Amino acid sequence: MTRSVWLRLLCCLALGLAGTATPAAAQPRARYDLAIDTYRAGRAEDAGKILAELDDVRVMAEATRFYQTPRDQPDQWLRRAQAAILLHTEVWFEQGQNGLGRPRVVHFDAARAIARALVRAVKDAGLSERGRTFVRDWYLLVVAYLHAQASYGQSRSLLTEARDMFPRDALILLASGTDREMPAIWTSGYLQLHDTSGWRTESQRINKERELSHAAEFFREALAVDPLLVEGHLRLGRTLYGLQDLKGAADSLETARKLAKLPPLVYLATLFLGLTESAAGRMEEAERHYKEAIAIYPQAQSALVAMSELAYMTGRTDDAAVRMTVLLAAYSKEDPYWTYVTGERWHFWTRLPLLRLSARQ
Amino acid sequence: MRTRAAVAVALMLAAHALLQAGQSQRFRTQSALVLIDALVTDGRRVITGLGAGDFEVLDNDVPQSVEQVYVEQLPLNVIMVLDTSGSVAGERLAFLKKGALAIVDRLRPADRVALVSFSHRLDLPSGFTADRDWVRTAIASLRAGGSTSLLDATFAGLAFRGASSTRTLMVLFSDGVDTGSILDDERVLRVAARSDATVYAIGVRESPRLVPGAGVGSRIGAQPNQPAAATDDRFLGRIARDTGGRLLHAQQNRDIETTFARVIDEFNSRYVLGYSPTGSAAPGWHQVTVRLKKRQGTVLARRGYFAK
Repeated sequence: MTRSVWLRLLCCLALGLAGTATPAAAQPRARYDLAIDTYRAGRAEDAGKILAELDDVRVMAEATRFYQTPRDQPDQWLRRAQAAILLHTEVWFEQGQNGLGRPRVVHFDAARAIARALVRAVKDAGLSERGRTFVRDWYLLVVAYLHAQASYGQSRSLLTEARDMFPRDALILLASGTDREMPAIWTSGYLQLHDTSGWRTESQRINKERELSHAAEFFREALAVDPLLVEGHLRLGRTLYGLQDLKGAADSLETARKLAKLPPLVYLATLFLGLTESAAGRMEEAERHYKEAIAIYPQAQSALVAMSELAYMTGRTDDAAVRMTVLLAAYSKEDPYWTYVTGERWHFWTRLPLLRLSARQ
Repeated sequence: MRTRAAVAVALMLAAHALLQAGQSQRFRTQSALVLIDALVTDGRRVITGLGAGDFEVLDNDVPQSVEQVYVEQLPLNVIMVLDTSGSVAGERLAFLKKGALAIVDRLRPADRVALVSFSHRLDLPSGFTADRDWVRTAIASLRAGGSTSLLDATFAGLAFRGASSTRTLMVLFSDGVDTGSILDDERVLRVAARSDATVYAIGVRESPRLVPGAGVGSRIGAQPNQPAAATDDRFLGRIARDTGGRLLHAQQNRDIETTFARVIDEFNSRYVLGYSPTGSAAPGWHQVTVRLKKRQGTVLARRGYFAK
C-alpha cells in the first residue's frame, strides 16, 4: 500500500471518529425522530434545536423516508408526517423571520416533499382525508407567510402546484386570486419570480390590468365553488373597482356587505363601496358609505383619508384639511385595510395554531 | 419647446395678501389672480436673471399679460412628507434627518414649515410653524418601521394646507413603492391638479439594507421584495412634472442631505409670474403654457389649474 493511500485511510478514520463525536452524526435517524416527538409534545423550540444538528443532506435523507407508503399503523404514520411537515416549516419561518441570513431552504423543501408524499399516501394507502385537508391548509399557511414577506413571485409558483393538487378548492382559488390582486395594488414595480423551491428565476414587470383580470377570474371560480365566501365577494369587488367595472364592483361589494358578520369585513365592504361610488361620480352616496365605515372604526386611517379626498374633490378644501389634520393628529392604531393589503397574511395567525393542533394530536 | 405650467389660483383674498406683502404695484385686483411658479433651465443649469418680458404665457391658448413677482418677497410654506418605512431604518434615516434639517436651515424668517411622516401609517410630527427648534426636535424624533403608504401620504401633504394661497413647496421623499394606500395614483394626481403646491420628489438609487424582524411577527408585512432601484419613479416623476416640480435622486444615502439642500436652493431660483386671465375666464380646467420668447431654455411649470 502506498503512503498516500494510508494517509487517505487515516483521514477517513479521523473524520469518522469526529463524526461520532456528536449525537446527530452518530444516530441521525434517531435524532430526527426525537425532533418529531419533541415537536408533537409541544416543545417546538427544542425540536428545532435538535433538527439544527443535522446537515442539509441528512435532513432531506430523513424526509424522504416518508416517500414509502405506510403498510402498518397508517394513522401513526399520518400523524408523524403532519408533525414533520409543520416542524420543518416552522424552522424555515423562524430563520426567515429573524433575519438570520438566507433561511435554510432545505427545511421548506423537506416540508413540501413530505406534504406531497402525504397526499399520494392518502390516495394509495387509503389514509384519512384529513391528511389532504392538512396539506391544503399547509399550502395556505406557507402562502400567508410569503405574502407577509411580500414574496408574491414565490407564492405564485406554490399556488400553481396547490391548484394541481386541489383543483376545485375554494380557499386555494381565493388565495390564488389574492396572490394576483396584491402586486397590482402596488403603484408600480417588479415581481421576482421563483421556482417551487424558492430560488429566484426571473424578474417580471407588473402589468396591473393583467394581474387584476387573473385575480377576478380566480375569485369568480372560488365563488362558483362556495357562493357564501365573503372574502371572495369582497376581493372580487375591490378588483373590479381596480378594473373600472364599477357596476360589477358595486354588486359584489353589496353582496359582501350583506353576508359579512365580522366588523373588519363590513368596514372594508362599506369603504370599497364608497370608493366605487366616488369613482362613478356619485359623491353623496360615497360620503354616506364613508361615514358608515368611520362609524365602525372611528380611527381607521383608510376611511378618513378617503373622506378627506372626497371633501377635497368636491371643492371643500378647508374641510379636507381639517379632516386630514384630525387624522394625522389621531395617529391611527387600527385599520382593517392594513390587514387587507397583506393578502393571505390576514389568516396566518388563525391557520398556524389549527395546524399545530392537528400535527400534535 | 417643452412647456409645463405651474399655476396658483388666488382670488381677491390672495391678491389682498400680496398687496400687504408689498406687491401692490404688480397686480390688478379686479379679477381672479393667477400666479405661475416656473423654473427655467438650459437642460443642466438653472437660468436666473430673467424678467416678465422674457416669458410668454397662454391660458387656454389665449396670450396673457404677465407681470413678475419677486420670490424673495413672498412668504413660503414648506411641507416635508418623508417616508419612514422599514427600508429607511439605519443609515438612511440618519441622512434623511440631515436632509430635512438642511431645508429648515435655509428657510427665511417669514417662512413656515410642516412635517408629515409616513410608513403604512400617516403621522404629523409638526404642523405649520415658524419655530425652527420645534421642527428640529420633530425631525430628531423620527423613527423608521412598517410598510409604505406613499400615495395616501402625498394626498395628506396636499390636503393638509387647505385653501391657503401662500406659495407652497412640498418636498416628498420616498425610497420605495406604495404597498398600503387606499388611494390610487390617479386619484392623487387629480388632487395635485387642483392644488397649487409645487412638488419636489426625492428618490434614492442605492438599494435599502434588509431590516431583520419585519416579517410575520410584525404588525404588517415587510417591505416588498423588490430589485434594486425600487423607488416609484413613475409616480414621483408624474406628480413632480404635473405640479411644475422635479424628481431628483440621491445616488447614495450620503447624497440625501445635499439633494434636499439642492431642492430649496433651486426653489428660490424660480420665477413667479402673475396675471389676471383675459379672454379665458370660464370655470373648470385651464391649460397653461409657459415658454420663453426669445432665448432657448426649458420651463418647468404647472400644466394648468381649476378655476371656480
